[in-house]
Amino acid sequence: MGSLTRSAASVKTVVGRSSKAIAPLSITSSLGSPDAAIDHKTIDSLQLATEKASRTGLFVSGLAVKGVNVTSRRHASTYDVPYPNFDECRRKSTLDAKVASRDTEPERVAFTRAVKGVAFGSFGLWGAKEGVQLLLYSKSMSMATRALAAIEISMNDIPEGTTKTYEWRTRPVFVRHRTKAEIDREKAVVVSELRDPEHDDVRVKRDEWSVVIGVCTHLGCAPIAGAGEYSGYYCPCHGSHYDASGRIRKGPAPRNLDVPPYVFKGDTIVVGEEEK
Amino acid sequence: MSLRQLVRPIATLQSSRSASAAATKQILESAPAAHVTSLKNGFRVVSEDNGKPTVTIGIFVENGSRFETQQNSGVSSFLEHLLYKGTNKRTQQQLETELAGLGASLSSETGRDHTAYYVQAASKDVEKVVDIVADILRNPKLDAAAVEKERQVLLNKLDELEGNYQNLTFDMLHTTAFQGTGLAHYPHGTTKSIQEITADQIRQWQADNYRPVRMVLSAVGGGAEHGKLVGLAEKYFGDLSNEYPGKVPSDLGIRFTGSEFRFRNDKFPAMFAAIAVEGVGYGHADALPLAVVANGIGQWDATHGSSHNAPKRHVQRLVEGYGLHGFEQFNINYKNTGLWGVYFVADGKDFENVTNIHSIIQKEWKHMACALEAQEVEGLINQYRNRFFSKVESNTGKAKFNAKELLYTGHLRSLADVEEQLSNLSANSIGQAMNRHIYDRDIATAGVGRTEGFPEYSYIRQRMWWWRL
Repeated sequence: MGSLTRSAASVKTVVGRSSKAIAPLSITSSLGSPDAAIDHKTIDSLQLATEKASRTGLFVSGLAVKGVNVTSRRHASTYDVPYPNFDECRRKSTLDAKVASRDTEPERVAFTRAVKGVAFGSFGLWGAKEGVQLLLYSKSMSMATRALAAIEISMNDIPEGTTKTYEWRTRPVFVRHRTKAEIDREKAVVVSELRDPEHDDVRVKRDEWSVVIGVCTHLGCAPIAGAGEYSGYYCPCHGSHYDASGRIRKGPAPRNLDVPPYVFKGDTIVVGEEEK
Repeated sequence: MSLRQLVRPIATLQSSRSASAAATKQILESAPAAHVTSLKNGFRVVSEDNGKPTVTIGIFVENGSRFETQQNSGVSSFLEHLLYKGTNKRTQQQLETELAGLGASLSSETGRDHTAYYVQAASKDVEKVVDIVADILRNPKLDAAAVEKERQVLLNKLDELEGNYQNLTFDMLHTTAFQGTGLAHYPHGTTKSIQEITADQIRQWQADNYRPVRMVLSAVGGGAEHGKLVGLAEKYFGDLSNEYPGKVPSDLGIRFTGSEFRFRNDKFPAMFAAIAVEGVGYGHADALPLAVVANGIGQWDATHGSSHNAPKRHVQRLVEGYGLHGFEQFNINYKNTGLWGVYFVADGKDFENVTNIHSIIQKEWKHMACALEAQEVEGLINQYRNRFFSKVESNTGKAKFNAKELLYTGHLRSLADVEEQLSNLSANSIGQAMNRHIYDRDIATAGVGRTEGFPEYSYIRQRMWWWRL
């Protein structure tokens, strides 16, 4: 019933007592204006205002000034100021005042929404991806470790019959360029007699090249390449002997030397990369 | 929908109805029922006999400034004023004597979309009262002398109105929010239109607007026996035809425009401001939840005893030295649109103070839209219940309610129906209504008086929403 009391400018009572008095918001009526407004609506007040304004000037005091526009009663109301017509600025769909603005809204906001959707949507997607990556990266290898993830070894650096040691992921890797004799010897080993039965074919990708991790499977010492009874590797700590394929032949170690993942790429061996 | 709404346990939404709720329903349903009859010509009669010693009989007419044009702005209220000036049967003097003899009181009001004439009288005088009201409405004299005299009264009233800052603010709010539609027109007209309206135009207006399909006779109180009232209505209004001699009144549009209107005058004692979103029509399904929230935001002014210790959190914050004199939430429902917002008075001496007031109120709106808790809803609904039921307690209040229901929606809700709707509200349904109509919606603002510190449109608009999931 809000509109009944509020928009009704006129509530009158002919006789009897009105059931309802229009009470202005109490505070507004109790407010005294410090610089009391001059009521510009009567002839006298206008003359008064004009005089007051005229006498305050530097050279005009004492002059008799007749106010302008005070000879006839002026009826000027705030309500007489017409509200401007903004139809020129309107979209065509809102020109008809009989259509509720809500009904034309979907069409009016479609383009803006689309642009905003694309802009904020892509920004949001990118942000989401960044966020997820940030979380995942915090759980992955450190940059320093990742930089050593794979090493490239030039095959030309290793003459036939020699073994070279490289560091891969903080561990030594032995790369052996085997001679024909070594190959024949290792291929001929009877697998069933071995402690950790593995044929040489399984441990190498090319017969000339044997790549193994130089960590003794016993207690983790670094074996010496080209030494030991089987002219493969020898671990000086507890005397484990490995052959030229890295298989344990004698001593306390339980397993053959591990073979790291590696691939051949042209003239190089890349250790740390899986065969695709 | 906010995340909080999604994760809210469903169980708390509908707390189990107590046995007392069912009892309330029974009592309400056994209350004197309102009966509605439509005469052959479309004139509607609604009456409710509650056995009290007094009765309120009102005639409500769908007419008002929203059906007017620039040229005849104010004609509805002009006509309403003139109807007191005597009829072809009774002079003004006789009218007053007769009413005074009955000890009755006749009041009337004209708004943007309705005019109401209502008489409060003793319950045995129903017949005489209907006779007088019918005479006033059907045979007004509308003579030239009375028109000229009333014209001066209305012009003086225009001057007076300018000093009613609250009224001024609401008029400006309507003008900007509904610019280009009939709702922008002032109920009291403009100087030019009041000066130029002729007696003929007024007569024409009455002929075109006071048609039976646009009128409701609503009576509540003792002696408001339905059969009798229908008989009286048939006798006094049954011969009214639905022919429009001029043109059929049309409401000239409901388009809401997000916009601002500022009328700065530093001689006014304070800043008077209103911000509103487009509300809903009286019969809209969301009218009730929005009314409940509006009532819950409530009002406060400096004369209240509570400030920092106020029960409402936004009041606690608003009183913190922002120069606020008072505020009041409003919810105006017209037939097919409305305005929902807040009106406040502040000293407006500091930009930050004013923006803080805006922000705090808008924050509370957003809270109601996105983060309402079931416990709060209980309180909100009870507050509204109190207000609503005390309003319809009086004969006049109930008569107005019945008439409004019929004029705006064409059917009548009983108090039991309203209670049923109220108890069906939940945090969810209120939040949804708020999201449809308030949250991130365009606003219309009006500032009157010391508005130097009134924030610009975009500033207020962007506070109608917040970041949320």
